Amino acid sequence: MMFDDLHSDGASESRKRERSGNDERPLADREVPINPPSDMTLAKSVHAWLDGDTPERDARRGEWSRDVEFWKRLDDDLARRRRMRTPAGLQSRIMDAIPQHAPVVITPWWRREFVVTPSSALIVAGALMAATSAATVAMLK
Amino acid sequence: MRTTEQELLIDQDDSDQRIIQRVLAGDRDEFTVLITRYSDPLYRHALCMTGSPDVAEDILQLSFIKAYQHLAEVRGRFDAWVFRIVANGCKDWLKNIRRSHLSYEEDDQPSAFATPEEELDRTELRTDLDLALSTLPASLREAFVMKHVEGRSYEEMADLLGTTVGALKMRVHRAREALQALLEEKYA
Repeated sequence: MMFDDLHSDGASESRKRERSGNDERPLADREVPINPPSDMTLAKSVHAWLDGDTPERDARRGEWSRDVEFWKRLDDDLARRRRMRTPAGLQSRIMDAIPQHAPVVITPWWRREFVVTPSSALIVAGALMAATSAATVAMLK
Repeated sequence: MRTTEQELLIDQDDSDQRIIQRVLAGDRDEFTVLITRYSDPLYRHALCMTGSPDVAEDILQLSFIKAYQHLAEVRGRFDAWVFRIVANGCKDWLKNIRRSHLSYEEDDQPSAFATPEEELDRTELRTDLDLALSTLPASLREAFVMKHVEGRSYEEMADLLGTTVGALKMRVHRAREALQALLEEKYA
């Protein structure tokens, strides 16, 4: 149940003080400064309801009913965002912008297939023999 | 147009991997199926992260071009891979806009939501929520949007962002508290 708050400033301040007193947050929670200062904490039951873990009636207990109303109102707008679609024409614009050729498949050299032909085998063998004899000569000197 | 695209989309037997193989084999038009399949959630993500339909469209277009060019490198799920490209595009845009000291509200917020293409009316709450979201650090905004706009589970979010469920719960909770602190006076 919601009431008009004729003394919003004072009431809000006392509510905030109550909340911060009720639920001390660990330091790690406050590492990112958010403006305005995060001295207000949502009840765990409200978070659990928003996460879909508990029913609404659990979140409405005590003073948190007002928070439930607030989030239900916010969710109306979020629900409209959930229904948004890609603007008409964007998909065809993307297709127009992508290259006309198929994507290039770049295979790293270690995954490529090696084809050994007789001539290439002869060349490799010759190179190996030359390198071996050069190394032998160098060692004998 | 939309109906034709959806007919393309609803070929459920076609896995992403098979479509990718056909695109790599030279059937470029098959890429339309992937765009149709994933553009809506990706557009919503980009729009909620940047607050600007024009920027969201640009990010989506560049992301799909990048995805096409690197399609051969997809390992695992295509939707998760392309989501990461879009999410990184959004974060890069946010970094750049902060670095260049542009005012988010003045530069990209105003006119775009009122275009006829937008399915939503520009309400006061919507404007205020957009402004409140824009004040959140990128990581909190991203977590909040994924949870509350895209309706993803924490497990799915952790999978996509490569972090833990606990860390994401913390981010979403902090985002809620910050948004409530900013909007409660007016709307509670």
